[in-house]
Amino acid sequence: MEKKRNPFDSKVVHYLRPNQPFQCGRPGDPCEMGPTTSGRCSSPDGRCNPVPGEGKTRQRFFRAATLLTLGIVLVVLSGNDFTSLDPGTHSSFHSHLDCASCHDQIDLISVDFLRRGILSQGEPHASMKCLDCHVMGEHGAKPHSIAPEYLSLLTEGLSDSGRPIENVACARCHEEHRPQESTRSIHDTRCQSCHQQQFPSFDDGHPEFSSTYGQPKRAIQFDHGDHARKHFSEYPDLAPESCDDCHILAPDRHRMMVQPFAISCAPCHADSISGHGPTGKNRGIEFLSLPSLDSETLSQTGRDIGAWPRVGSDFPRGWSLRWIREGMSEDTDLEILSGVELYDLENQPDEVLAATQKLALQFKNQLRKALDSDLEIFIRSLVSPAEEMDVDRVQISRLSGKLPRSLLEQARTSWFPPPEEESVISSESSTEDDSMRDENDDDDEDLLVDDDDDDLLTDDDDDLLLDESHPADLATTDRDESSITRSGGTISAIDPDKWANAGGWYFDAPSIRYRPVEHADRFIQEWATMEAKIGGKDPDSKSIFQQVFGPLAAGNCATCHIGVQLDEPKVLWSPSSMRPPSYPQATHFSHGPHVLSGSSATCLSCHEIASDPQLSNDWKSISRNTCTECHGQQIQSGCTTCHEYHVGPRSRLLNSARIEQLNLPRKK
Amino acid sequence: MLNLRTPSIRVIFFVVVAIIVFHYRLHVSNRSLGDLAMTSGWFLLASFLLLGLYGLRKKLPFLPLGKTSTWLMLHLATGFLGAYFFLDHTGYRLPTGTFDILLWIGYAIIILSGFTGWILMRTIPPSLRESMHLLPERIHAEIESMIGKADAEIKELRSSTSNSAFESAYLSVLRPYLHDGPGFFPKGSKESHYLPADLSARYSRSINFSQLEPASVENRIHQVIIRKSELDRQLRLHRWMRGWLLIHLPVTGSMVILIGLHILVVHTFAAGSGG
Repeated sequence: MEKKRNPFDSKVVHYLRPNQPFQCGRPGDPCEMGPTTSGRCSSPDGRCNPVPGEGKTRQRFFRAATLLTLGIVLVVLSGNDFTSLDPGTHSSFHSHLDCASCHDQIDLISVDFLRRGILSQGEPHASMKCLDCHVMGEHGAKPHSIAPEYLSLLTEGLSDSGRPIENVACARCHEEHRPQESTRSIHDTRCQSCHQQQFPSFDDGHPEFSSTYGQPKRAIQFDHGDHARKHFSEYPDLAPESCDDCHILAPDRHRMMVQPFAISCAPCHADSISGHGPTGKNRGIEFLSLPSLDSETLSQTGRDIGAWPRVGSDFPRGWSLRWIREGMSEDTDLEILSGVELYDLENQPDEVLAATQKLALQFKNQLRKALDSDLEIFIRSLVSPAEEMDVDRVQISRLSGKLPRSLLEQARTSWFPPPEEESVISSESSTEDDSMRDENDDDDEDLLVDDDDDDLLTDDDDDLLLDESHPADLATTDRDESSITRSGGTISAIDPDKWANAGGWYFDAPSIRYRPVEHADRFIQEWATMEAKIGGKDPDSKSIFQQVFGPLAAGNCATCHIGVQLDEPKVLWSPSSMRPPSYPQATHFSHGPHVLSGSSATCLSCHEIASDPQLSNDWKSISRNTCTECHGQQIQSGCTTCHEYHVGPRSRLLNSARIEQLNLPRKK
Repeated sequence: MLNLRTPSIRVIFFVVVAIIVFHYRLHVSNRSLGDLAMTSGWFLLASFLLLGLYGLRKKLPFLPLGKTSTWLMLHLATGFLGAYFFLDHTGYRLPTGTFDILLWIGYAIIILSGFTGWILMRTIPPSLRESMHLLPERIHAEIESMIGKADAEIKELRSSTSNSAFESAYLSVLRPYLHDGPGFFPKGSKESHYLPADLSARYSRSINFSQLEPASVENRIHQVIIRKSELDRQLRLHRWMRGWLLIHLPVTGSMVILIGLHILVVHTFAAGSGG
């Protein structure tokens, strides 16, 4: 239907100017000319009251709002109140900070404010303020908080890292003023800005783990399968029932640790250290030993070395050789004597005799010096020159094993007795002790069997310790079948090795020996550690290492401690000594969330025993599939779940207080 | 009823390309450890300036810079883009800082008022076309004319009859209504004889509308009332159609200042390269 057109048109209405800023406001009878553009009535009598048009009204609103806002902004800024510009709440970590803690304080109405805002990109040292509190080390602001040179080595060939390694502002990853988002939650794309090998997620495209992941370098050799199959069935009372009988979660809840030796191993293996049990070696470690020399031949050829016992040990080795090496010529003397049987020097060339004499005199000289000095000097004389400067007093204490001076004196007396004693011993040894020597090896020089009149243990008349009228001493005198009578006195001829079954130092002619009975013996640990590190840098290291840590050494250390190897820069005594992690440690795994109650996982959820166990490990490595059974599904799987960005050695330092801050009054 | 025009291919192409470029730049920024908020902020500012060009274009109608309808379509498309950039820039959340909240609310008002205006502009004109409508500038004169005619009818009625009931009702109820403004919301309806409810009650006590003679003065006056009601409706719709601009434009003016300050503050205090 056609609508009726509007009869109202310009012929009826006098004046309309909708495109003008003002209109005539007189109702009913607008004037012909209308108001001026400035809003004044153009009529001479000014009868009209012009009203603004729609556009003019909008323009007035626009200007008013703009100017009002500008005014408010200027008023607020003039107060220099930074809180009015507060971009948002801090994260909880920074809730105690004010603006000046992180930002430079500048006047909000100033040239500097405008200059920075217009010309620059933020504060010039923005991240440096973060590092005031977060001590990240020398390279804290560098990528991964490590030295650029080191990073270049790590990333060589892994990325198109042609870009210069510049400082990375903390805020590039840690966004502040966003309380809904943790400043510690880093989006994966941040990592992928440099790491070029990109993939959608952990369970989709992440590279497979290394073939040894989950198989850390072992410090202890332990075959789980072998124990479970054989030993535990043989000794069910001693067998563990579950993994946590031997393994516990560390206090930090990240690492799994092996229970101490006393709990996990000692019930079965304690005896093997002390020398008891089926695998025990009941003979102590030969520390210093007098070599057997043909002193008669030397004397006959005019190379007198003074008194020298007829019975000694083989060619010097280990500590003994290092002890006398100082006075010997490496290239000539020791080379000449190499392979020579020193106890038979007949028909040996003169240079051999000369070198042997030199060796004997050096031995005596060192012994004299040792007895004239102190224990530290003595032990330092046994430390390799390659290591000596780095040995502190605590190490010296451990290396000494608290060797008593009296033992050294006993050895000296036994090896080189005073003339009157020497004659007695010589005569006795030539007449009646040959058979006993065969039976009870090297007992000749033992003070316990010496005929010395002053020997409290052997003098029947004056024996203060032995009272035959006492039942206990009666038992003592009767019990030992090997008790012998020498020079009219009864002494115990018990093997010194047996006597020392509680461990420690003892003299078993011609050697000073040390016998460990306790796990983690400091003396053995320290010497083995030191000699393992020195390795091939010292000619005697291997020999000493073999003496304290060889397969036949007392203590049986090498049976389990495979982490201690000669020439290995890192000596791993125990699983815990493998931590803290080496630098840089870019990947972390926390056992806690995986194994604590509440989780349905058990140890065997991830660890699978290998069907073909290797010496180094009897567990299969952990594959990515093991993790993706949970991660990437309902469990988070971002890069930082497993990877650490700040891998620098000083990425986490204790915020330690200074002593002065205690404000304690000074004592008068 | 919302009367949407199908956007042109060029506008769709513009929006799609802008979004692709936006995300590409974000990707590049992300790959270079850039500040994503800074990148999206620049895009948001660009969209804001582009939206402002539409207002500038209206100030220069004499220049051959394309059709106004094209510019409007571009303005709308940029408005959609700006809303997208805005949400991305703010992380799809309400900020917590006072100044940031102010910015957020201001920009949200601009966006919402703009889209409200767009919906009104597409809804109201068809409604106006349903009846004979006038230019809003001429409605006042029309109403003046109607009042004159009604007054003349009443004079004629006074001379022809001694019953002054209707005249009294006209002077006390109807004539004030004819002079009254349209208001912002509807006042009358068919059930209330197109009068506001309170006036209708008083009017009904004097006049029985169901028995009015078609040729009577009372009926002609009532037709004037109906016409006034229709013109009031038109005026209201025009007010709605233009009124949103009284929010959209002033808030835009305020935002120009606040955005400028925001850029200064961000560049002054945001974490830089780390030195």
